[in-house]
Amino acid sequence: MMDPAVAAPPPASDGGSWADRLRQIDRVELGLTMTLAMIAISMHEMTWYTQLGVMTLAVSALVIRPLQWNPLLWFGLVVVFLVSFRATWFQQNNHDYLKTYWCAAVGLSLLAASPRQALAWNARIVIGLCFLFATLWKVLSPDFLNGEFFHYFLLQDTRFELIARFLGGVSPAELAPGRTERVLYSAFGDPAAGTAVAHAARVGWISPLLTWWTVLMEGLVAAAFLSPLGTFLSKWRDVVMVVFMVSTYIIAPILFFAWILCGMGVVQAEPARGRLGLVLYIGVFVLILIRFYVPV
Amino acid sequence: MTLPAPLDRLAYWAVPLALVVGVLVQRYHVVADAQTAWTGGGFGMFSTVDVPGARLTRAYVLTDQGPALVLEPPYLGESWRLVYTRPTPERLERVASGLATIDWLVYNADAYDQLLPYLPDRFQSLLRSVDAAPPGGAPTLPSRIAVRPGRVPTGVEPSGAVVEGAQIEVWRPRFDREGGRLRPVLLRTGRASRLTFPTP
Repeated sequence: MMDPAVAAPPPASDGGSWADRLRQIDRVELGLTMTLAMIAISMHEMTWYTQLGVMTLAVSALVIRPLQWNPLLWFGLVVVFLVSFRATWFQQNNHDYLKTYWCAAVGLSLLAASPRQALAWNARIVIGLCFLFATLWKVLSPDFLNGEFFHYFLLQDTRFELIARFLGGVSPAELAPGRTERVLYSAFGDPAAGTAVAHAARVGWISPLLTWWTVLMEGLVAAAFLSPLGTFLSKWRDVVMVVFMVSTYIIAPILFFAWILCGMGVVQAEPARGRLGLVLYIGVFVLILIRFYVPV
Repeated sequence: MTLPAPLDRLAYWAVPLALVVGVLVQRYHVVADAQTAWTGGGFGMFSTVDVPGARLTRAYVLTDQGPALVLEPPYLGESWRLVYTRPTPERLERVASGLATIDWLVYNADAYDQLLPYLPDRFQSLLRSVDAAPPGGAPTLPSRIAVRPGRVPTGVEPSGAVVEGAQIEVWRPRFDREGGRLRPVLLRTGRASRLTFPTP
């Protein structure tokens, strides 16, 4: 069936309520702008010449908006990313892959007979596949479903410190020695002897909860985005995605991955829910930004 | 500028297909080459404690008296930096060969006190933590260490061990939930012999 997300934006009118103004937003243009903003600020671990290339392309398209509709701009970004990752592709984070796939998808979609339809399709399928594989590897991983992963990460990873402190009842003072010891022993001690990790009884029951919540939500996102349009799950995909993002990225602020998902989410947002999807994605975009930069 | 009609499907299917192929390639390397699931485009982040940064890379100089832990491995090109993410046999061997060709001074544990101010800060911290640890709670120290000439004072005599080669190990993290300990397991090892030239 025809994707309703592909409809061109209504013509602009003067003034009107916030709802009217929201209706006038071109979701595709907004999604592409969010993508370019994310690309422009996520250039760590790139060489100076690839940074220069990315910055030139991304900032040009942010300033000269019609450039966002030029496929060559997006293919240019793909080329720069591929040059940047050529020797370290197996070391690159998943958000680097996701943004490369997404830029390629935008470039190709802009060459299609119905660019908006192709963009919405690609955004949905790429998000769906990404979450399908993320769920699959978690289910197949020997140390995820048994709760080991979250148990360890709550106690050792600074990104999970917020939940370890507030729900797990672990103080920073309890977490610090284990981390220091791990750094020392990992450098020079006997690895097989192992290092102690801070103990917290409450973490023991939080970790299975987080484990199953993550599998459930990621699986649900995959199912919702890969379901045929018009089905019940598909109609609620934006709400499912936003619930996943809020429950995940507020705990562990992974800014760039979340932002690129927001940009792609906006491009394919389900109009059957009015402008709810759009508002939710913009809200999450801002919320994650605040969570990332404001110390808790 | 639009694609010709027969190629229009490319705009819809090329990227999803590329993504699936990319994931399959990454999974192949996870299984065959001990690549960490976290990186490389397989979307396996947050699925295992085997985080690239938590993997341990150990370098040893092999001597006639036993292995000596290399405290400060020298930079040996990109392979050294990348070896922990995907420790292929070729990459491990390349790094081990690089280490085996370098000059080393080997010291036994009884020289650690004399060497203390000249050793890396983290090793000094470890030695101090051993002194401060309760009986039975001290970590195991390496029985000998290898350092580059010029990094330690000339007054401290090396053990006289003969360097025969080098070994590199990559350990992956494993969390023993019941025991509350992080117990890494050895993932891959690479060895190389020191090239010796016959004396005329």
